[in-house]
Amino acid sequence: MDSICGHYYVKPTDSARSDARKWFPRTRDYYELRKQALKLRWWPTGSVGEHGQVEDLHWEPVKGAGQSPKIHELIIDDIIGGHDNVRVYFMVAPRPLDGDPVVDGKILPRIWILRTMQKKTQKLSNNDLSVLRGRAKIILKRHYGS
Amino acid sequence: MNASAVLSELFATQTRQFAQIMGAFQECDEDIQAVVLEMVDIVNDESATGDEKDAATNTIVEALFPSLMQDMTQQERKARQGEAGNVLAEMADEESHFADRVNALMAQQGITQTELAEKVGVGQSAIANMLSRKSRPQRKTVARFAEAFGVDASELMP
Repeated sequence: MDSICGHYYVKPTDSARSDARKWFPRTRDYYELRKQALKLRWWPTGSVGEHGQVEDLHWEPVKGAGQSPKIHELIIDDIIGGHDNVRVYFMVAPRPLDGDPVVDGKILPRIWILRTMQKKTQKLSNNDLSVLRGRAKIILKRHYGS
Repeated sequence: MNASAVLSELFATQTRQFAQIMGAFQECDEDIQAVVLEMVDIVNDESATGDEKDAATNTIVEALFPSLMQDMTQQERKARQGEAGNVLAEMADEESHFADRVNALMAQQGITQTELAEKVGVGQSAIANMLSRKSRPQRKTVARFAEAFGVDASELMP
């Protein structure tokens, strides 16, 4: 099984997992997506630009999703399970949580995967943006009290 | 049971479910309640797509019944367990074959990881991760490797 730790500890929300099960009911497709999404563990630490590359995948911020927290989009180029334009939406946690993995005496920062979907239009709809903001809010309230 | 009794029972069941959901809603703080109400609007919005409604529904379940969502994840993981082992072994074989072929071609053609990274359009660390099988290349990336070596992509990853 692939490691979920690199520079970051990558954790999907339960609703993101549920999205993935819907889009990728075949086990092979599910794990193909998982392997691509886990490349986020090598997302750059420190300040990042407005867009960039992690391994062989590009990422960019989600326009219209607000600044706090900043939500990003990981762009999958391959067709998985017959779906093109697959996207993984994620945010960096504000601080580590108790129990997060420790590597070289340092707690790894966490990346939360908020949603997986096939992007069918260039811009996300207001409903899609609301879902992303809503899921981020639930995580922040429940785990970080903010 | 006659039709009226069935309807009455159905109504009672739905009302009990509503009471359970309402109870979970009341236990949430204001911010999460606001998220739930926004998601309810999406679910009830006639112009919303099926995908949007599904995503909003999952968000409501996560907000109101987090332990139920965790149980579903556990159950799904157990259900996949047997098949997952075979699938992951198959993928690991592909990744291993890819790493072996790329290493062999690099040695044969005298190409370094840094040179290869430039040709493929990724960082050197990405090449290192792929060759140590920590990272699975996309098909599109495999095609770029193949182009860089002048071989068919299927030779690198079946």
